[in-house]
Amino acid sequence: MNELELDAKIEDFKNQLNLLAMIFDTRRKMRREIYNEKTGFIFNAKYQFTTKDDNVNIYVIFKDGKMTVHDGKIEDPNITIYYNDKETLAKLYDKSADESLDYLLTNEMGYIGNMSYLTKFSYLISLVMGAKIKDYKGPENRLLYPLEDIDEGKKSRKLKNESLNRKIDNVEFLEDTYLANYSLDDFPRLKYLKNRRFALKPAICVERAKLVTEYHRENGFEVDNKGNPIDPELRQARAVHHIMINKQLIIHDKHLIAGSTTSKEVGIPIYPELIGTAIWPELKTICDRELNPNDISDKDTDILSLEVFPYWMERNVREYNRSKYNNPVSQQLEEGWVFYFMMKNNAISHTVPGFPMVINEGLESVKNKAIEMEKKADSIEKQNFYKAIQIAIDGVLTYSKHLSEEALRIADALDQDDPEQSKRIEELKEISRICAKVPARPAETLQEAIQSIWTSFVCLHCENANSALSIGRLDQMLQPFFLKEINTITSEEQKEKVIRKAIELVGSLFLRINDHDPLIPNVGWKLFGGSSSDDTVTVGGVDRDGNNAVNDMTFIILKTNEMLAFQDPNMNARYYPGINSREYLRRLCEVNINMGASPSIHNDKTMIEALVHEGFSIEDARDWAATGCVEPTIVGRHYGHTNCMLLNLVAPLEMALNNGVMPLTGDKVGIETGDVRTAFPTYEDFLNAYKTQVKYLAEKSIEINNYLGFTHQYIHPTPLLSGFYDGPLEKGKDLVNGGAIYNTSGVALVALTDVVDSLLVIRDLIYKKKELDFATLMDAIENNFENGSAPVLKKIEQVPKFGSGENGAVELAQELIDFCYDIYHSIENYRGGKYLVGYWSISYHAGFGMLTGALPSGRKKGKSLTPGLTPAPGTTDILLPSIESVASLDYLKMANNASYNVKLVPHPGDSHEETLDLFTSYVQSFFDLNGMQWQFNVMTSDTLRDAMENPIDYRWLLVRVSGYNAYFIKLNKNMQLELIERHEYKSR
Amino acid sequence: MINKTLIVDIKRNALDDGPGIRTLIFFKGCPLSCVWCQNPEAKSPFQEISFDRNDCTQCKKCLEVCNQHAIKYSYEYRIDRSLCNLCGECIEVCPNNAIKFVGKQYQTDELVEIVLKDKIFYKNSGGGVTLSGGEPLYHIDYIHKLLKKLSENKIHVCIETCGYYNQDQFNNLILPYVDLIYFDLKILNPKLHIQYCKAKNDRILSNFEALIKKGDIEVLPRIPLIPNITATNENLIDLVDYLKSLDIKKIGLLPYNPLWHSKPEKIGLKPLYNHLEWLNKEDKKRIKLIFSEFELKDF
Repeated sequence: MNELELDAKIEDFKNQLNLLAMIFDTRRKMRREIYNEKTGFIFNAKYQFTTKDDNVNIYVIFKDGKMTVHDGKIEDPNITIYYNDKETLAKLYDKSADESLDYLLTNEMGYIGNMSYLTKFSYLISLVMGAKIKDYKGPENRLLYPLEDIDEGKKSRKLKNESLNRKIDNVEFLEDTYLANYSLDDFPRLKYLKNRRFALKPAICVERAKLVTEYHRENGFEVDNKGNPIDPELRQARAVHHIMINKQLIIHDKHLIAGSTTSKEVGIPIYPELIGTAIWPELKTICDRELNPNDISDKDTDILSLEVFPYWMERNVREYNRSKYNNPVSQQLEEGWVFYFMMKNNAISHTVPGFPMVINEGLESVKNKAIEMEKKADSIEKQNFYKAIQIAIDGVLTYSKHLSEEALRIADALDQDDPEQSKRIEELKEISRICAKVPARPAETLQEAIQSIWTSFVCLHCENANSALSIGRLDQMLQPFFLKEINTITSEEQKEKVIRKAIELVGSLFLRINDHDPLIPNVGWKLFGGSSSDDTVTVGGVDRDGNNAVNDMTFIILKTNEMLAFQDPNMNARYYPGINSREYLRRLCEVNINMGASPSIHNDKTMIEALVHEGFSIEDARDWAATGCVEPTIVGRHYGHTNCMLLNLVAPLEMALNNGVMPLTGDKVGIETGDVRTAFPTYEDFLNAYKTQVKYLAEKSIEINNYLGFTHQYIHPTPLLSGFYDGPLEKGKDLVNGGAIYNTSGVALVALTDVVDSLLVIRDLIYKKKELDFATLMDAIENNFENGSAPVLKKIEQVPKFGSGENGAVELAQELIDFCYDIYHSIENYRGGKYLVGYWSISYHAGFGMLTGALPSGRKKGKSLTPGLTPAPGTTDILLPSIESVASLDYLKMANNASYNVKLVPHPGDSHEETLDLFTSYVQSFFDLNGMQWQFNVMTSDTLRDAMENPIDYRWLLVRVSGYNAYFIKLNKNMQLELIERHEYKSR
Repeated sequence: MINKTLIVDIKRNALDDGPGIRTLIFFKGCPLSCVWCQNPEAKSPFQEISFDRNDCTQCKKCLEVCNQHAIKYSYEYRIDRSLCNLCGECIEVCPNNAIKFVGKQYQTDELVEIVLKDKIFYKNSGGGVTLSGGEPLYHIDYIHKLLKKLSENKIHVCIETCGYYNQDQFNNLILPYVDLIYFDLKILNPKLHIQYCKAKNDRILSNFEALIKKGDIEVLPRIPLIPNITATNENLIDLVDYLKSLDIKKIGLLPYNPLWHSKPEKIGLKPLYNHLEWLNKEDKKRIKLIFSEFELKDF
């Protein structure tokens, strides 16, 4: 575009704004958005639009229902939105309102001020620009795909199962431990509901958002109606109580477990005090967005935009934090997207509540304890906290009672004489009986135990966002109930029935766990995405005394998981070499072959040792369960926001190469460590520059995490969750204030391999062999290894990298791991706990990769970085040196776990048995060498390519990204390509 | 007698040559000279130089450094081996590794060290080391030394042999340290054996028979299926009778792999056998029928 065209476009932009202003004047329905008589919400705000070069300056004022547009600058805007240059601003016209936010990612656009003002403004623009016609009236979910058998058809998965007709580990009753003879055809209920789940289009559920807002508008947030400050614990408990007692009571047809996290069949709950407002720009388009659309009715859109979001614009975690800490640099860095990601803006959640305690003791006992403790409390704060727990638990008990009543109400409406319906009536009566009993009191049957977990889970989500609030060691919790039931039987036939019932009940829980999806804005799908709520289940390993804990329920859960093959629960298996049997490991490999990418397999020995190394008692360390992706949490005793941040280790490398400047933006964000062309006489000098940048970013990441932690203490305390733990009741302190017994935070460092490979290239070619100088290298990087840089790339390719087992790559990786460990261990978190470090990347290696330039390792601009702790593709053709390299890193320095991602394809000529022999040998060897965690992808690149072409045939296709697993077809293209390009190790 | 033992290649994570995960070592030199030899670079016991046309960028750096004037761009094999003194200068300068030495000397300790890297994988998969070639038993003293060290480390050893060795030496120096032998049987007709393998087969057969009679070690006879040479009905039926007479139940069949055909050119040789197709389905069916009384491994 030439200057004239640009000016014309800018003029268009202003006209558009003026048009918007006019529309507010003329259309009452639009005016509601800025002046709402019903809610009393009047949007008074100042927006500044500008370009970085100061060439364009426009501002907009909203005042008492009027919008006006002006040239120039205004003082104290609520938000300044700046664009790289005129052209960027001009290009805005080719994008839809929500797409314009993509500029944020590429750093072509930025903002200073309150992000909610940006999302609101994008929404207002979308109302004018692209009024889409929607026919969805809600609340029923619509079908996104035909309702058909997902396991039928040419391209669907075919299960292969071995039998094992002897007892292993702690298995007491299963005749065939592997349960080879069962298939989903034996469980028509599960089969039907599974297929239904795969066909449904998730819908946004405004229920919680509406109730939480309603409560606070009525009763105040900062101060009560008399103007007195409100205790955050009591405020939160009452709000959560209000949600629970007013929640819709849902017992879906055919389901055996009552209650639902949302009012939809598959719903997306909104937490406006967390990231809810991020979806604002998309409310009009989300139904039809390309990647993973969600339904929302016009009525619900209005509820969010008019009633809910305006209330939280200043009261969400991100914005409260910004104003409390005066928009700190550490927060600005987070919003640069490429340095680190802070989960606390979205949620804390990531933990494993003490469900065993709830099952075995009941919540009434917790409440009674709180009553006792309140009497003894020595401060108002503590008294309030104990009160808050009681209020919150009352909410759970009321909800459960309501469910019990609802079950009877539904039963009454059915026809006793219809054989189908009369069967359902019996089921509903049983459900009603159970809900009247649990989670208030101890469970006594398998179904009671499962209902107790689920009701608790639903209620915890009234308080905590659906972000990796995990189930924990399900096999350990359920085995006693399974044994109890099996001990009462007298015939073989009954035994068979108990096993079937156990599978059906576990399956029912898994179906319920799939009743919600996380809220992910389009921009999130583009950059990251694919993650579910990650409600994680853990099986196997050892018990608190170190004894073999693999039992009947372990295999029942694995079987159920394999047949349903859902993304959630994200299944994690603990395997203790030498204690758990090799047959169990073999079965874990078989489930991976059948599911493609699940469960992830953990070395229980190294995990426990790493936890003990961090100060956990040995008994507690043995009682760990995975949270979210793979991170360890001690069940019911440990609040360890295990995914509090992901830090991009490549960003400091780019900063070191550019004297503190980030090439993506051209901004100087880091330390001036020197011009790479002249400042580093030795390799060590350059390495130190890199470390300096890492230290700077790491310290900033800790600062912002701690700030956000303090913000949560005020905005979003967790009295209900606290009731599920050992610690808070004794200390009189909420989890978020350090009430738990263990109070760590978990860090994930992303793309270590890319850094190590880059440093090896610099060390070897520039310093050792002197075949290259920095000027040439930087030139090649700027040219993305094109335009005559081929010889440089050729040299780079010949340097042995991490995973080759050569060249001191492992030692260098270890040096960096030690360095990072020391930084994160030098500062405490806001709850007085440690930062635990891990190496896994969810999908952030792809997201960060999109924003990263070419690297000295030879990786090209925009390409995905390496997942988890995995050698880069092309490093080695054979698996062994890769396994040996990863396994030899010091696991004691990775207590937040590390993911080794292996794409392994069975040889078509091998029998199932031979394949299993081999897979089991690889994993066993990795663990014998002290590797921490193995994640399979058992599929060929060709299958993945075909799935890109024909997504509808592959709705079932699960892949392991790094940490979590995902449905391949729901991933963004970049992520899909990364999976395809991963090295495909053939089994011969 | 050769005084240097050279190794052509070491392949880790090998899965086709013995049970479990194995390290496969290819020794250089063989007493036979089969026309279809799949590893022609392992025939000669001496070091050679190889040139791969596909990797050549035509930079001509090799031309500049060759004092012997052995490199000729016009010559079909690029390197005139009659002039080359194996100084290795051209290998040093080649930017794309198109020229390489074939055959590298290793101390037995070095080999053991490489092998031990993957010990854990052998243990977990029931794997170990497989000595192949060429003909490993061509270097019987070296192999003896190596085997002793491997057995000290409790490594499972498989030897792939053409069977052309001195029986006494074998019994004393090799057999006590080996766990498994893959014994190749090619052609029973003595004349044809000489014609295609350039050696008599009586020694091979008597070695085989002795080994089977001893019976203290697992031996798997393997038959390479070379179209029109070994895979003829006549030869295969002869072999069936022979194996049955020794009461053998299980054998291995090695389908012909034509990919070897590009190999001789790299070391300046013409292929002596020009069959370019894989074994087809009908052949496979026919052969399966012939061996229907045997348990067949991987076929």
